[in-house]
Amino acid sequence: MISSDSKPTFKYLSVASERFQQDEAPNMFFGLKFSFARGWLLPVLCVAAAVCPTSAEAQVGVKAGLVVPIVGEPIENGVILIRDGKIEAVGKDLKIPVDYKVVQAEDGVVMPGIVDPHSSAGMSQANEQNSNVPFLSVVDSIDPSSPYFEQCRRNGVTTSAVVPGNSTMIGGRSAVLKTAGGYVNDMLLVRDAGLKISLRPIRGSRMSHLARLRRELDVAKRSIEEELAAEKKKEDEEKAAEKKASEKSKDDEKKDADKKDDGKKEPAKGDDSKDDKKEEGDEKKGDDKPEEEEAESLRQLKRLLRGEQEAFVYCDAPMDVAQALTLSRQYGFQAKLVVDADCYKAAKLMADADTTVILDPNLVFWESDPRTREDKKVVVTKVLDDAGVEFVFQANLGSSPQSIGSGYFWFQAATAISYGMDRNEALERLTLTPAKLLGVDEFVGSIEAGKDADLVIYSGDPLKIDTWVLKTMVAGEVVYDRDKDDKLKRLLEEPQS
Amino acid sequence: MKRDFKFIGRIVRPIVAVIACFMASHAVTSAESVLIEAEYVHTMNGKTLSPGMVLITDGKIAQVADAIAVSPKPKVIKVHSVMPGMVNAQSTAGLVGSGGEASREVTPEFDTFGMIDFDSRDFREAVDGGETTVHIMPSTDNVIAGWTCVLKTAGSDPEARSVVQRKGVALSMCSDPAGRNRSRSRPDSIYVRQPTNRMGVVWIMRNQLQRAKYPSQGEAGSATGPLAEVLAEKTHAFGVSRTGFDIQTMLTIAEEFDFKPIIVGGHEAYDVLDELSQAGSSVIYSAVQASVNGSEGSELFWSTPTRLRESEIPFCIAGDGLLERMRLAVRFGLTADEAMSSVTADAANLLGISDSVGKIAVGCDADLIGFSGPPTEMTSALQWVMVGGEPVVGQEVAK
Repeated sequence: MISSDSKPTFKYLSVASERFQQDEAPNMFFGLKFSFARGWLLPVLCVAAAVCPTSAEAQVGVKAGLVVPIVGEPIENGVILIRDGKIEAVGKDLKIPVDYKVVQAEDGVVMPGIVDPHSSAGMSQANEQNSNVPFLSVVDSIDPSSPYFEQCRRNGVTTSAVVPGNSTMIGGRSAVLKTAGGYVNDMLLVRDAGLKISLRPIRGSRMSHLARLRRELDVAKRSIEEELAAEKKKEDEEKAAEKKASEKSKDDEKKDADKKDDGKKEPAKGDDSKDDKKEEGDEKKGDDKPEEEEAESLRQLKRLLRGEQEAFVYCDAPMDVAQALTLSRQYGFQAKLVVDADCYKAAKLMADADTTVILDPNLVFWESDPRTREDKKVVVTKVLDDAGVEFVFQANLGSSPQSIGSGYFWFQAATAISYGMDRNEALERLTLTPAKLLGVDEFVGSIEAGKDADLVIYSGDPLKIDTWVLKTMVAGEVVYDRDKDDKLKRLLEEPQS
Repeated sequence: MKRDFKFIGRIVRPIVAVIACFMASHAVTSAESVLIEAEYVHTMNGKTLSPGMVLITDGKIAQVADAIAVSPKPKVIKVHSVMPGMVNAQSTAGLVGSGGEASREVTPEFDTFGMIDFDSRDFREAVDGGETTVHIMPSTDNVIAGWTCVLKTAGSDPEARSVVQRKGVALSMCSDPAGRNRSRSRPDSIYVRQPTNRMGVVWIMRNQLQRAKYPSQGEAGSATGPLAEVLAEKTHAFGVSRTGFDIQTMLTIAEEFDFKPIIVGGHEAYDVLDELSQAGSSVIYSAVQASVNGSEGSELFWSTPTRLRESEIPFCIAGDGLLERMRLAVRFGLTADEAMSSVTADAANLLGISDSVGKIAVGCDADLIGFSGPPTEMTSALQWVMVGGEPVVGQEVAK
């Protein structure tokens, strides 16, 4: 009874979602250059390369006083060769060919660019009024000229996951970008980097927030189940038809085969294949927007439950960690936990879940026991390290930090080191670990042949207090040069009064 | 010239310490003694010993030298770097409630010392961050807010923790006092009063100083009040001013009434360096370093401490999270020694308490902090904090 009622709705929804995809298609075309991560786009890659010629990617050789490649031992007086935006070779006694442009950093330390695992600063508004907007994508909200990206380049961040804010229940899809570029599509590394889900109740109680979230996920789950049931039904019918057909004469057989082909088209609608969707999408052009949004929301949630995309789940309180893990298990989706500082109390849960969590920028704080009023200093990195939780740092780049320090990744790492973290471990957690977490370690996160030439040249030890970023390179191009940073000069040198 | 309200003990103790140290240098047998062996002793008293040793007896520094031989050997603490405990010249630690009196705008007799919660977590946070002495100022909601006080951040006995109960008078030469008042409202509110804007603040301040300077017969008491002491240069005046304009106004008023205020805040001090220099004023610099603009929209320059140093204006760095501020000052242009000095010896000099705190010198209180590496590096751990020779943070390391 229920299934027959909802069937037509589903049919309609899937048609609407196809249309959305079609609308999206032109945008994707420009984004192809950096969309390597999505395997199904590979066939079109060569076309993209031809259509979007990259700006004069010269061959570059970087001479560094010290190369800290993250993977492998540091190399003194190392050379990094860059060809077409990629690292060609790293080593000690490499000869720089004559046609290579030389970047001199003999007194500097070269590290891979920092990877910001979670930031809402690059988008114009982090949170939506509507608390359930899985149909949205941050790509539409990213302003390449925003101060955030400038700050990133100034501070050696070359890759950033821009994720919707923590105050929207289902906040839309994230993207992983390079921090340099004039147009968002030129910056994209992963267009579709995961749905943001927040467990922070904005309106109403925690109970109702979770109930609403479950309701949305349930709708998607049911829709998938119905889809599967419908497919199975169709298959059964087809089998039955085949059986019948084999009993019939050859003339009749041909007729049946035509019918079969028609029938096969319908269940394919929920899939991502685009070819035969365009026409049907065009037919539906007069539709209401809210329904369209609803359809796209459902499609995105279904993608989540099918494992076609992951989720960033923000945990506002320790109890949310348990909820996030339960939701992820119950509905079968992959969750990257973004945890508030107080979530250190759920350290054991996080350790058992064997997941890499994204920490709050606030790493050290004080709290009072509500009953005994005993004061306690909490060092989040230490608690989590002791519990065996893998984590990466967040910094307040671009938004207003509690202190000037917590705005910088080097500061976060240095803080953790002062409370006992291993130095190499800390550096890895600024680069390779977040790259792995975001699934982009194939391209960024370390200085290895074949990876993108995203390099940062520091004036000295990257974690020393008076070390500055001298140059930042993205894909072999210098995108930040301290000598030309007038804003920084104004902050540091004699003001013009 | 400056009158510090010290306990008699405060005067006697250094003498005792000197005697103690005299004895110590010959033959120390006291069980109370602790010897600190450090790769670097940042004395803030002219030189850094590398390596160096500091002998502590009865809560005081008894001897500072490259090597100290004591028999029998006292308890030894080994550490990479040791420096004096930090002196935070602008703190609100322990203040209960709003930190200011709401009933009137002018409360010069108001005593900050009287409203300190000595058990407050603020002190634990301060001492954990390496601050051993704090200068506590009342809130800036009053034009003339009252007496400030200087305290140690640790110790069980509140009386013993007091360094100076009445250090100076806090004046708010900024827009803060105008913030809570209004000119038109229900007439039964106390906030229907002046000042409602900045010129009101200036008017009240000038008016009060006028009264202190020329007391009429009806107000005979004023001549002996806190403001009269300021005018007689018997006590400090701490003028909270952040924008260049407010600093200028504070200096103008001070010139009119002939006293030398210490500018507190000083975010835009870079803009009035000449005026500060001419007035012979000093600055407790406590710009909020988090955002591009400070409170009251003041423009921030990371290099302000460097500018003050170049202009030879006495200054210290103050405010919450002092350790981080000290370290960032190095990032923004001070040398490591200057930065360390700006939160220890310079602050103690400015507050007139340098005979007991702010440096590692014989006779000073044994307020010390130990680091696992250079104190100005973020990667160095603050391993232990000692107040009056007692380890209060990192006891396990220090014992």
